[in-house]
Amino acid sequence: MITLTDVSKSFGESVAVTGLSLRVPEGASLALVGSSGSGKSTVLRMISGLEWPDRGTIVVSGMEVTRSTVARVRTRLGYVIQDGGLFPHLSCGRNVTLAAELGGAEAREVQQRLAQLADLVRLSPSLLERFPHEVSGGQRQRVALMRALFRDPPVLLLDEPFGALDPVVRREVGDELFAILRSLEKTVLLVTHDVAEAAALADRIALVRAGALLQTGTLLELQRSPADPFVQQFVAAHRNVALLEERVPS
Amino acid sequence: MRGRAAAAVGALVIAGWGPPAMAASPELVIGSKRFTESLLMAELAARAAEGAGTTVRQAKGLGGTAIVFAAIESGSIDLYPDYVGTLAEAVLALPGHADRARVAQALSARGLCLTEGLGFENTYALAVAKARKATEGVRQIGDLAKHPELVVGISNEMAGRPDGWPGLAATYGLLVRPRAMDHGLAYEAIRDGAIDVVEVYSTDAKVERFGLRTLRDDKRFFPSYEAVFVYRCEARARLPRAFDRILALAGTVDTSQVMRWNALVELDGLEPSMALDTRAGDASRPRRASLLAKLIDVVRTEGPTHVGLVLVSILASALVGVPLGVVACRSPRLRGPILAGAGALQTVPSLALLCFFIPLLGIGTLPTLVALFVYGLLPIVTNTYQGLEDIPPALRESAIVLGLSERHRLRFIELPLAARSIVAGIRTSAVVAVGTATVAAFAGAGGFGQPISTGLNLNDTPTILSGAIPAAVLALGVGAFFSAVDRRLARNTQVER
Repeated sequence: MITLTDVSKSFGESVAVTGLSLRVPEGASLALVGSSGSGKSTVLRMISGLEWPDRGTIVVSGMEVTRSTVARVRTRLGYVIQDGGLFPHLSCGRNVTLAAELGGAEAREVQQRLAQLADLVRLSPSLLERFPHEVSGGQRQRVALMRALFRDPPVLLLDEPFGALDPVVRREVGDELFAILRSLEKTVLLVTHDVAEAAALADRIALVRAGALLQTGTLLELQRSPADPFVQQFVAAHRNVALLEERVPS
Repeated sequence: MRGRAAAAVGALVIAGWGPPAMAASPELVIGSKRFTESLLMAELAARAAEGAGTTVRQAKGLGGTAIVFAAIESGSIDLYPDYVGTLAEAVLALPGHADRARVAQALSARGLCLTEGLGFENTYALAVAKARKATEGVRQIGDLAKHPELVVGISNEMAGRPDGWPGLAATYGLLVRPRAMDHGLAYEAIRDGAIDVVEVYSTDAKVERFGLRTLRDDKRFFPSYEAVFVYRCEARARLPRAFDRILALAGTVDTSQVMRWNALVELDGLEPSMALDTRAGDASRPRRASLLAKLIDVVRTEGPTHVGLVLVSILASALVGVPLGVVACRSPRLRGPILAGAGALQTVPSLALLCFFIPLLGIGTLPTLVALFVYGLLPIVTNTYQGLEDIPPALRESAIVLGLSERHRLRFIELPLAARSIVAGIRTSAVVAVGTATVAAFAGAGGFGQPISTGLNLNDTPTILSGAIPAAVLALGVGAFFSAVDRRLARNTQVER
C-alpha cells in the first residue's frame, strides 16, 4: 500500500508537487498521468527517497519514508526508471542480480531466481549474457523489470516504463508486459503521459497538473464526468483509448 | 619478467627512501654539476678518496648551482667542485670581488669548508687567434686599447652586464665597439676572420682546438673563478684519510691540463674517467661510440630507472588522485580546494618543484618521485571528478534505489562507469611523467635525462638522441598501452541506445 498525505515539494521557485494526497491500496494499481513537467516523476522520486518532501508524509507498506527508514523502504520497492536505467558496463544478467549478490544472497538461489524471472518476462536466458547495448529496447525493458522484481517487492514504481520504446515495439512489448504486470498482483504506481498506457496498466488514473491532483478515477469515470475542462481536454485527446481498454482483460 | 620488474621498482623505492643524511656513513658522496669540468674534478676527487681505501658514491651531473648547493647543505652529498667566484656571487651574494678567504669564512657558518685552489681558474677571458697577424702583439687585455680597429665578439650576456663589457672597457680604456653574438657561434666567427677577439671561458676546450690564445687580465677586472672543492666539515673528521688525499690535490691541476681533459671529453667524446687516464700527447684517441651503441647502452643502464620512476610515481598519483577526485565529487565543500590545489601544483615548473623538494628530501630518487607524483595528480584528480560527475543521474539513482551501499555503488557502479575518464587522466599523467622524468637527471636520479643533459652540455647530438629517442618511444608506448586499455573499456561501457 502507498499513502501520500498532503505532500508538497518545490525546487527553488518552481513548485513540483503541491498538497498531494493519494492512496494506492494493497494489490491495486494507479497511474499518475499528466503532461511533462507536471511533477509526476517527483512523486516517485519522493516515494523512493531520492527527494524529500517539504511538507506531508509518505507511507509505503506501513512504513513512513524518512531518512532513517529509507533503506528498509527500498527493500520493499521495485523501481523501473525511465529508459530502464540499466548499467551499461554489466551484462543484462548481472544488472538483475548485482544487488542480491552484494547483499549476500546465495549464488544458487540467485541463479534460480534469475531463470524464473527470465521465464516470467519471456526473455531468452542466452540474452542475459549480453550487455544492455547488445539487446533491443524491448528486451532491455524486460531486463529492467526483472531487476525491479528480483527481491519480489510488494510495491512497484514504474516511471514512463515504455517511454523509450518506439511505437511499434511499444505495442509489441507493451501488450505482453501489461499482462505480466497485471498477473503479479503488486501494488503498482505508474507514471506516464500516455492515457492509453495508463488505462491499460492501471485500475485507476490520477490526473495531475502543475503538481496538483485534478481528479482520480477509472478512465470511464474521467470521460463521463470530468472534474474540469482540462481533464475533459486531456482525456478527449486520447479518445481512441476506449477501444484499447476493451481489448485488455482486467 | 614481471617479478624482475617488480623487484627493480622495489629496489628503486628502497634506494630512494633512505634519509638524506647518512649519519656516520663510511661512504664519501661526491656531487658534480652538469658540465664537463665539474664531472672531471669530481672524478679526480673520487680517485683520490678511493686511493685511501674509501668507498665513494658519485651523484653526477646535478642540475645547477642551486640544486648542488642544496644537496651539500642538506648532507645528501659530502663534497663537490665549484669556483670561488660562483660561490661568492651566485650562492653567498658577497659584495665586490670576494676572495677565497672571505668565501671560506662565509661558508664555515653553514658547516661547509673549502679546499685551497686546485691550481687553475675558469674565468671569463678574451682570446685572439694565435695565427692571426693583426693580433700578433696582443698579449694582455690592456694591449687592445692600442688597437681600436679590431672587432671584438662577446656574448649577449656580457654585453649587457655592468660587470661585463662596459666595466671592462672603462677599466682598460678600450675604444673598440663589441659585437654581441651567440657564444656557440663566436668560435666559428673568429676562425673565419669575422671577428679578431673573442670572449671565452679560460679552460674551454675549444680555446685550444681553434688555436686561440687567451689574453692576460693584467688589471684583474674579472673576478676569480679559482676552482676549489666545497665539503662538509664533518665529513673530513669522519674520513680523515680520504680528505688528506683530496686536500693534497690543491695546486696540482693547471689550466692547460684541464683544457686538454675538457677537449678529450667534449670534442672526442671520452668519458671523464677515461680522459683522466689519457696522457698528454697520446695520439690514439678512441672514436666516439655509434648512436646505436649509445642507444643500447642507455636503454640498458637508464631504462629500468626511468620506467621505475614513472611506474612508482604514477601508481602513487593514481592511489592518491582517484580518492581525491571521489572526495571532490562527493563533497561540494572540499571540491574547490582540491581542484584548485591540484591545479596550482601543476603550474610550478618541474625543475623549480624539484629544487623545492631537495632541501627537504635530499637528492636522488625520492625528490624526483615526489615531484613526479605531484605533477601526476592534476589530470587524475580532475578526470576522476569529471568522470563521476558525468554519470547519468538515472544510473546513479538506479543504484541507490536498488539499495546498494555507498561503498558498493562507488566500487561496482560509479568507478567502472567513470573508468574511461580516469584511465584517460592516468594516461595523460603517465605520458607527461615519461617526459618530466628526464629532469630526474638534475637531481642525480638518473634516467633518460642523464644522456640528454650530458649531450646538451657537450653539444653532442648523438648523446642527446640516445636519451631523447628512448624517452619518446616510451611515451608513445605508454600512450598506446592506455589506448588499448581504453578500447577494452569502451566495449563494455557503451551507453544504451
